[in-house]
Amino acid sequence: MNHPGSDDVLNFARHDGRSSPDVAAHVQNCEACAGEVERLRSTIERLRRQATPESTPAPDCLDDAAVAALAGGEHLGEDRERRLNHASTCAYCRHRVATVARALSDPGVAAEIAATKFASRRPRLSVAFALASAAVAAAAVLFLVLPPVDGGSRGSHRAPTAVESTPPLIAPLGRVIDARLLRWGSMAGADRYRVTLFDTSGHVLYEAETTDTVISLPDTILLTSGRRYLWETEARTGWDRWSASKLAAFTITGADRR
Amino acid sequence: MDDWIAELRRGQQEPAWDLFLDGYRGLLFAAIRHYVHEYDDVMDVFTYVCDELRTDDLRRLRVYVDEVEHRARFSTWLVTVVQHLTIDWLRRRDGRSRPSALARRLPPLRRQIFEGVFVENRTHIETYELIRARDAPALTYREFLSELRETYRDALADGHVRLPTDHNGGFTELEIAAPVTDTSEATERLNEALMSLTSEDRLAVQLYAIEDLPAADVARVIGLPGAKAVYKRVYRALHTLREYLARAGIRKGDL
Repeated sequence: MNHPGSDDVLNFARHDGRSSPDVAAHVQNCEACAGEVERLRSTIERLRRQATPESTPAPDCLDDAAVAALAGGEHLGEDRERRLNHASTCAYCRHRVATVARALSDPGVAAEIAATKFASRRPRLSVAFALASAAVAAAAVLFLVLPPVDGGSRGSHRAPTAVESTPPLIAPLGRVIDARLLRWGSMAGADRYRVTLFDTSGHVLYEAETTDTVISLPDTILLTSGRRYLWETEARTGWDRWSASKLAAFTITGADRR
Repeated sequence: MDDWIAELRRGQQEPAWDLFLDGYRGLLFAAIRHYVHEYDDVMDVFTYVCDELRTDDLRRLRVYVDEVEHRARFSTWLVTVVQHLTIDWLRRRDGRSRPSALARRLPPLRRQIFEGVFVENRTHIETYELIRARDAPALTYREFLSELRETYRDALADGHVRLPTDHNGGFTELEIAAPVTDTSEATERLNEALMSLTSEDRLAVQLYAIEDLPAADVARVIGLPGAKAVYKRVYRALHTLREYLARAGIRKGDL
């Protein structure tokens, strides 16, 4: 039997067995992996239950520069061990480090940091030339950050780069007459999509996987006029790697759809 | 050397500030938008951050510039300062959160759900969107719903949740009558087990399992070559913890 790797088993256990249908399918039929997942899950759950976050810093807590050094992985000085040790025993600092590390991985923040590095290496120039350089720098950043676009021109606005890594939902959105089809945009690198329809109380009404970017709801799904529904699409970008879209809502304004 | 630093070192605060803002306005906004999303909030936080950075003749910037040896790159430090100030601003606006006894014991995601749904009276969807925008961009609605159910179960199992009834008078305190259970020994054993790990392994497992940080980010913090190395370490550390607890006679359900 081909078992999933330890990293996939660990991820599966961390997320309590959700969002990993490939591992879930394997674990259902593999006693050894099921036992390992349960052991990992119970240890993780113990750690989570025991974790007590502090809401205020202590006098010996890490300052901004030390938090930055840890979060950015720039801690090469003599104090590295002391900082690591403090963060591993102080919930307040650990949470700050995690929060800043997450911010540094935000594509919008990362692009701005790349842009400031580029700008700071620039020699002092005339205003006109500096403006031209800034445009080139911005273009360079866009070139580095944007995924390749098939057969189209690159967008001129930087913001969308952050959302290219999730499948864009197309329809239905907002108030619609009918919602027989759920449609979304393709995502580079995705080979499969999983679409889920919820009611507003969170019950899953329908779920399906497809390689297409549109799915037709079966007739057994009754959508009631005037009621709000939610849906999301996840794109598979690797073995058990899924990237979720934003959650979208729609309301049927026409007659009930049976 | 950056122009703004040269001006600052010459004692020219105003030109230094203008040059600093020219160079880092984009980063300030990007970092702020990571935490707040409403246009008005972003602008208010930006104003607050600028005011704080300008205080005492740019004291914060001068402290960084005057360091003999910088511990972090300026851009990384600036993102950290923005995080700090944004949290300050949110606390000033919303009041410092006083998590209940139950909330303090919940894992981070369930605590956020608890605070969003029970303390801030947000709808489930609002809470989901907020958590996803602020801390967990990869969180699916299905995962959120599962955690939401667990949060309700924890709240109900732990005692009784008196939901706020007076919406006009504002929310005062969410009362959780938590039965006192003797888990102190088990908790102590778990702390001992954690302290038996190296500080790197301890932090890796905490960032991965408790803070739910992606393995690539954990690798950067700990100084490991990549996500694979994190998985290996965390896997091994969890095994060590489990063995330690088993030897101490701590079983599932004792914590």
